[in-house]
Parts: sequence; C-alpha cells; structure tokens
Amino acid sequence: MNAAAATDQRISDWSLIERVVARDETALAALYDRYSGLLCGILNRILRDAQAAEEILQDVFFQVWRNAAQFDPARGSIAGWLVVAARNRAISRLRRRNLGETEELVENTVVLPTNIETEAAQKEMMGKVRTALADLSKDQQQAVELAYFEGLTHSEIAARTGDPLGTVKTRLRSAVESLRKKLPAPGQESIPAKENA
Amino acid sequence: MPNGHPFEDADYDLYALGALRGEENAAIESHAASCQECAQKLAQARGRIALLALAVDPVQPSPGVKESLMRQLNASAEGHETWQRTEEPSRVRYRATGWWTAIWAPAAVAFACITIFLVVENRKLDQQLGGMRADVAQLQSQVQDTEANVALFSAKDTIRVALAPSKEFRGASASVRYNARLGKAFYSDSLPTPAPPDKSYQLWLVPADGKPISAGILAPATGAGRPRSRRRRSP
Repeated sequence: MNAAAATDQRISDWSLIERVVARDETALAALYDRYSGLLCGILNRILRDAQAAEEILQDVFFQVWRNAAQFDPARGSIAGWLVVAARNRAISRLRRRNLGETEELVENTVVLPTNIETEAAQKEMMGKVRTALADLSKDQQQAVELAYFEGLTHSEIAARTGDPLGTVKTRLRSAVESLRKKLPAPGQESIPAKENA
Repeated sequence: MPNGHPFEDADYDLYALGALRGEENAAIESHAASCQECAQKLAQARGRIALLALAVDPVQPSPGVKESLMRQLNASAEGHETWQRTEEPSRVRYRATGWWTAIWAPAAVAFACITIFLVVENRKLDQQLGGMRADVAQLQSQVQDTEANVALFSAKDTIRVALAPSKEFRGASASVRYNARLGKAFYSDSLPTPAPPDKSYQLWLVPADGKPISAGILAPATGAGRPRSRRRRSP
C-alpha cells in the first residue's frame, strides 16, 4: 500500500463504497490502493502476463465504480468480492471462456472469515493461509493450486496429473476440509458495520 | 447428508474452488437459491477460498494502471446520469467485439473490393483469351492451307493446265495446278483489269473422262467463296 492509502486505513471498505456511490473518485482510488497489490499478485499468478493482469485489475475496479450502488453490506465483503471477481475473470481469460454478463459485481455473495481491510490484517492473514497450505500434503497442495490458479475441475486435474479421478476427488475434499479447520471461522468482523468516513 | 441438506460443507468449498462439474455446480446453486442456510455456507466458502489469494505475494501494478482507471472514470462520468444501466450492454458488446470488429471490418471491405476487382479482371481475361483462340484457329487454318499448297506444288504428279483467255478478259492469263491424288487444285490468274465486283465465277475441272468437278466459286467483290487454294498473282 502506498502512503495515500495508509492515511485511509481507518476508513472501512463500506464507507469508501458509499463515497464511490456519491461519485467520489478519491474513494475508489483509496480502494484501489488498498487492494490493487493483492489483486495484481493473484492475477499475475494465474495469468503469468503482467499486461493482461493489469487490464483485468483496471476492469474490476471500474466495475466497482459502475455498480457501487448495488453493493449490499448484508451480502458480504468488498475485499472478498474483489478477489473472487478478479480470479474468475483471470480464469476465464486463461481458459478462453466468456464470463457471462451475470458475473457482475453483486452476483456472488462473498463472506470473508476475517477483515483484511488493513495492510497489517492482510499480512497476518497471509501468514495463516500459507501455514494452512503448507500443512497439506504435496499432492493436496498441487490439487488445490491446479483448481485455484488454473481453474481445473476434478476430472481435469486427474487428466493433468494422471491420477485416478476418485483419488483426486478424495485428495481435494480432504484438502478443503483441512483448510476449513486451519483458516479462521467466519466472524462478524467480515461484515463491518457501516461507519462514517 | 447433514441435517437434511443435500450437500456437505466441503461441497461448498469445492464449488468455490471451481473443482466441480457443470451439473454439480448447478445443483448447488439451485439448492442455495432456495435455502438461506446453505446460501450463507456458500458465501462463507467463497470467502474462505478467496483467502487463498493471500498465499501469493502482492504485486504492485504499474502506476499507469491507476492513471488509466481514473481517466476511465472521468470519461464514463461525463454527461450521463443513466450510463450505469443504459450503456452496460453496449459496453459489454464493445469489449467483446470492438477490437475484433476494428480488425475484421476493414479486412472484410478490402476482401470484397479485391473479389470484385478479380471478377472483373477475370472477365476481361476470358474475353482476351477467346479472341486469341480465334486468332490461333485462323492461323492454324492458314498454315494448313499453306502446307496443302506446298504439297500440291511439290508433288511430282501435279499437272499444270493453262486456261485459254475469253473475250471478256482480253490480255488475261490463268492457270490451274491440279493433283488428283491429293484432291487439290490451285487457281492463279493475271488480270489487266479487275473482275466486275458484282459478279461471281464458277470454276470447273473437266477431266478427260467423267463429269466436270466444281473447283469453287470466285467472288471478286468480297473474296467469299473462293477456292481455298486460289492465289492471285500481282499483275
């Protein structure tokens, strides 16, 4: 995060969204500063193409600008939606799939188990996620990475790795069950109360 | 299945991960649409899986991205309050097809022009080719005539018959070279005055025995109907 974003650390995502609804460009810029590094990291990891990653990054934030009024705090978190939207778009481009017009800002409710609105929160959660992934077996890690970063289904992972489909299903199910135990349980902080900026 | 719900908690994580097939995804979406509890589980699963993004080191995008985004905001905000709804379909279409159209539309026009040009040129060439074929056929005919005449003149059994001048063509001379084996006759004459253009002349060969044989019709005005082997010498 840059210095400008740091000054906005106390402002919640929802407060920024309310200002975006009021056509406050600085609010969108603050959201961009807050999450662009995170999103660009995941986009680069999926696409391995910096230019394509930045195109999607810009597109995702432009969607926030266009549809900010349709956000509903009761339906989840801005950060969660940003990550899901960025990943879905990257996977779609990677696999040459057309993202339906319904895949828009407010379609998918995403409830993050924890608040990652500050840089410190992101770093703390980063450590927990990496630990949880490191605790998986190598096969489980590979299956999760193929699904998450390449958008492969069970059968596609089986075809890629040469493992039986049943083995892949069991491996991936046990992996997500392990992650469910290791990652924080959903808390009320994932849907922060509205506040005034 | 747990508590009467058709899916286990892990199924929602697998859904969020994108590991399920189309029909499996549809079943979960269908159930979540009618079950608030499972819809909440699905939303939480999306959030949990979204956290995997934090396993990747952040990458700061180039400064130009933010500048471009801000310009895009300004451009979109200029002069329209209803753009959010009304321009969305066209924007989606433009994004999907804009660059494609920009490339292919001029290419299609150019292709059409080239096609029309080629069709026109092809017709011209066809006409030229037809004319050349006619010329070739005429030349081949002339070559055949010449070859026939050469054969007639060079054959040892060709006989030459001098024709007696008539009163109508005083001072004229004419002869016929005839070869019965080749079936060819060559007529030549030398006329001090041109033959009347409004008349035509029948040339007959009269063998020693048998009936007279027509050797062709001479038409001085048009040259039509002349014996193919007829040759006029200069006076």
